[in-house]
Amino acid sequence: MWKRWLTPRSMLLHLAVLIVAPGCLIAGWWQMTVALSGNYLSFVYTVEWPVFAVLAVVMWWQLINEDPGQIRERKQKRGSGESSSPSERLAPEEVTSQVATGDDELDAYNGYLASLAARGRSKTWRDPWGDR
Amino acid sequence: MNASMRRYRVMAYIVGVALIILVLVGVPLQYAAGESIVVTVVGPIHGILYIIYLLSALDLARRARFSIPQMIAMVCAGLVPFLAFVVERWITSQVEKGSAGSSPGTPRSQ
Repeated sequence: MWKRWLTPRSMLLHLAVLIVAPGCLIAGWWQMTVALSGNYLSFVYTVEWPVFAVLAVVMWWQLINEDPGQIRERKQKRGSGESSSPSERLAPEEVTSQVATGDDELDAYNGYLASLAARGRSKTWRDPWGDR
Repeated sequence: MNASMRRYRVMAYIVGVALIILVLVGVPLQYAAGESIVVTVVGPIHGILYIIYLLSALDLARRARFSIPQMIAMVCAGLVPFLAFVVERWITSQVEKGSAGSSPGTPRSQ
């Protein structure tokens, strides 16, 4: 569970976010002093820099919480230059085979379930839209 | 994935053009001619567009499962003039080749 926070890749990400996020905040603070001293253009950057800091933290969190299997698979792909992976799961259409039951209402409901399955996976933290 | 990709490409071109106007027209005008109107107008616009560009880039990166170097390239593309067009082509070809990786469990579109 905690191992993913301690891999060399994660360490690199910790280091990066520790430099980038405070750097952005300092830059935002600096722009605020510029803005207050009369350069009103800098108010835009006063807002912008903290946004960058937040984005850096969001990306850091997402990259660390990525599925280790996906990282491994990506490395393999890059090495072999192959575009298909053997670990691909069945497409939703293949999982949900439709069987007619003779009951119209039940068939309609099954059809609805199949369309939900075909639309994609449910929402997760890593995939908040679930429609990839 | 396609919609995400389209959003990213559109934003890459817009930010690329805005940055070129800012650096190659606005900055010389300000320092050589003392005329700061281009910087005053395009500067904040580029700043806001760059945030939208970053959001679209991060969205695509998450969906296509980009590696860290690819993400660094996407971030830098909005900061160095002309780099946006180069990175946009590279990223597009990577996604189309599939080497950036569609995730397991997702049926391939196309």
